[in-house]
Amino acid sequence: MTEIQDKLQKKFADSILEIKSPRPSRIYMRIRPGMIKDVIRYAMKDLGLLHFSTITGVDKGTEFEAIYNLFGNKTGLSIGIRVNRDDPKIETVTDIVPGAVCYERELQDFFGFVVKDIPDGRRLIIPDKWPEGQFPLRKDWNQDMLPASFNDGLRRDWRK
Amino acid sequence: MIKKLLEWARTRSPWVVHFNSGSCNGCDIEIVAALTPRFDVERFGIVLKGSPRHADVMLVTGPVNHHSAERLKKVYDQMPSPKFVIAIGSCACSGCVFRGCYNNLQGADAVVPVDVYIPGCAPRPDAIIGGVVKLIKKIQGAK
Repeated sequence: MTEIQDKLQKKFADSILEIKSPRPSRIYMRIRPGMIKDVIRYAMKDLGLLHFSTITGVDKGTEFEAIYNLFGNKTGLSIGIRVNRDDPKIETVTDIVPGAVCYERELQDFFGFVVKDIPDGRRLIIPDKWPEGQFPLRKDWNQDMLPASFNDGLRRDWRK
Repeated sequence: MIKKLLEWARTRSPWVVHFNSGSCNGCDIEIVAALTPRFDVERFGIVLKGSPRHADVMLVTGPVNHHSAERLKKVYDQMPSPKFVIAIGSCACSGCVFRGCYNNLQGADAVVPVDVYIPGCAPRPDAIIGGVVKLIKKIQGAK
């Protein structure tokens, strides 16, 4: 058990659902969704995990998981939070890491997460003419769900 | 007489313009390699031009998606007729590993009419020159 894992477990004993450290330099943990801001603030300010690398979205069937990846102090820390698929609301972390707005917009584009208090909620990656309410990285999405008007101006149907 | 002259001019100076529609740079490097003195494409009159308005042939590399499709169409429309398109690399031919992605159009022929397909990831400069020579033959045969 590393020192960082020890500190995290002591500080957030009752909000950690799952924690494991397969190598000394790597920690994976899953916490209650409401605690994400406190954990990130603590990890960045007190543990020296200063590089906020990215936020990854995962479709877990009935739940969506957002994994916050932090690096620094010779350690990689992945913090996962799971939210219900029907109501995928997460809190923004842009008041701690302003640059995280890109990753949160990406989550909204690809999975349909609803990020509360996001400073700039416009689309980032998917095309401008993409229909509302379709999220390409969800497991139940496929190209046949797109309307036929998506082929306007093209020489052939691109959906195969 | 003028027809003959035009055909002579077309087949002996196919000036090319390069359009990257999101390529990984592999095919682009092979195109640049094909333009070096080692392969000497100027013997066929092939010259890389900076502007589509000066070019007869467009070389498309990379998987075409909804964002780059509009730009590809715009650049194609700027070229003077008669114009020809060569899809270089598997991505521009069919989408390659990106086939089936949510934003991939699966080949440049979804947007512009493609005359020659050069598969490969990435194709060798020899293959690119071979493709252009085949296009020249196609123009000669079309009359």
